[in-house]
Amino acid sequence: MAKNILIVEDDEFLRGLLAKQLGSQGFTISEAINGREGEEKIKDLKPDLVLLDLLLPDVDGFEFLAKVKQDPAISSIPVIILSNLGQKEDIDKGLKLGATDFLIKAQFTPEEIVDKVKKAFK
Amino acid sequence: MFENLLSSINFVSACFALLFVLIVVLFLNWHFLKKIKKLEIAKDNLRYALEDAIRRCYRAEKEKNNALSLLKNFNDGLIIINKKNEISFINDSAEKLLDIEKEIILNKPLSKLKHIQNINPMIDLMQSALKGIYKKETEAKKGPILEMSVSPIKHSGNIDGNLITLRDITKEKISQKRKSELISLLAHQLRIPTSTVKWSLSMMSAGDFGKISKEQKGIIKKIMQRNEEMVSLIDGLLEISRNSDGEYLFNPVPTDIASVVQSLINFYQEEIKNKKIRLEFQKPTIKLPEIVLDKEKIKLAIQNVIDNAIKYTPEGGEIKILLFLRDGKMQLEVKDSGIGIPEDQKEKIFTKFFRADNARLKEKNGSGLGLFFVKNIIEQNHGKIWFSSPAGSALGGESVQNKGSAFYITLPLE
Repeated sequence: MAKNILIVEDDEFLRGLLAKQLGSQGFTISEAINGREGEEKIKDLKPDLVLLDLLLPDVDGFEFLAKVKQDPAISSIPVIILSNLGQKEDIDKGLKLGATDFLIKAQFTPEEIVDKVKKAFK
Repeated sequence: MFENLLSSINFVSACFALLFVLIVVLFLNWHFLKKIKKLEIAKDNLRYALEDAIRRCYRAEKEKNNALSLLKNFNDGLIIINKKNEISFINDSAEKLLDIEKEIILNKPLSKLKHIQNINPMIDLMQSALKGIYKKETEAKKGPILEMSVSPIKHSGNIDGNLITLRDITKEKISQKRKSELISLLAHQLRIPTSTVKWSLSMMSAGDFGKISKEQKGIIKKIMQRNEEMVSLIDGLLEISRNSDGEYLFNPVPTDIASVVQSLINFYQEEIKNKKIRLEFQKPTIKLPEIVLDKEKIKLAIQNVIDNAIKYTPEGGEIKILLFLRDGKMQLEVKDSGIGIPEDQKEKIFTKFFRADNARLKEKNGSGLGLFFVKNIIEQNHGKIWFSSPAGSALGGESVQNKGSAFYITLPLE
């Protein structure tokens, strides 16, 4: 069965590129355009993995991640942060909150991101 | 007649006797007067000496009081740890910064003060036997952020204890945090267009949006290379700001350089294998001493040198890493059979944003900041870095003569 990936990303263009790339590799894609929608969708859909941007309208990525990791119903869902933030403090904070990985968007191509997603399922 | 003569003789004798007595008395008087005078001089001298001693004592006491008053009223917190590892002095500022009363801690061994939360994190460094000045950032519980400097108190070549200086850097830290947040946000904004270009062009190049011609593919590749340069530049700028943020804070810890090098070799194992590079790490069989230095930064510096060696060494090449002690220093040598450094560009190799022409051809991406940082970090840790290129006989074999580079780093043991 195809794995379901929830992309929480406010940039429509980047979200679209990522969805296309992941879709072409056989993943089922759900999209959320802000943190609040992300919170609703992760509870409703219980995806197999979340790709999470950090600077989001409403609820930001760190807040979203903290809530996910505190909720036993969804805390085991792996979350990969995919952001253009990337200072050591941001990375430390994200990993401390329970992110599986922290990828800086500008340093990875969509193909490499898909590889990271596949690796997370292994 | 005879009687008269006898009486005259007696009289003369008596006169002589009297005269003799008188002379003796006069002599004794003169002698005693001389002695008394000498004694008076001695007494005066003694008095002067005493007065001088009192004056000196008073002056010393005054100087001591002045020094104590200066230390007491010094704006930074000051603590003196004596030879017995006891707090022998603490000034008002230190009491205030640590939110503690001196009566509780004065003249008590540091080992018995571990239960005091604001003192506990500082104890290890407070009682360290140091040769130089070290700085550490620490935070008092619910209190200010402090920069703690520890310097040994030297007297006639011996170390009598440590002087601890505490400086409130809360305001600096807040402004540093704001600066860091601003840079983080700026970097984020700068990365948005680069990531958009990177993602879309890489998918376009892979044919995800339809078939493209060979020519179009070539152009996309060139745009992507330029975009990568921008990505590296943004990363480099971030690194500069991070480095300048933390340059006054030195975080020294005992460091085993051999294990740092080994962990880096392990980290690059896959890349070394992929490029079929023969890498040899030579170190003494005995365990090398640990050096107190900023481990994280030194690791970054050594990583950069090893990373360059791997990056600029062609497939099937050779890298030799040597670690040994020489003249009271630890020496690390990283020698490769790579592209080397052009003669006319050697002077600029450690300057900011510089990349040698052949390095640029071999590896498109790079900010030209790596070796600039490496030199900075090594020098911050009182070390030296230099290079030779070609590596010459460094790698031994004929095939690598007149090729490659050798980077040398020395770090003082103390």
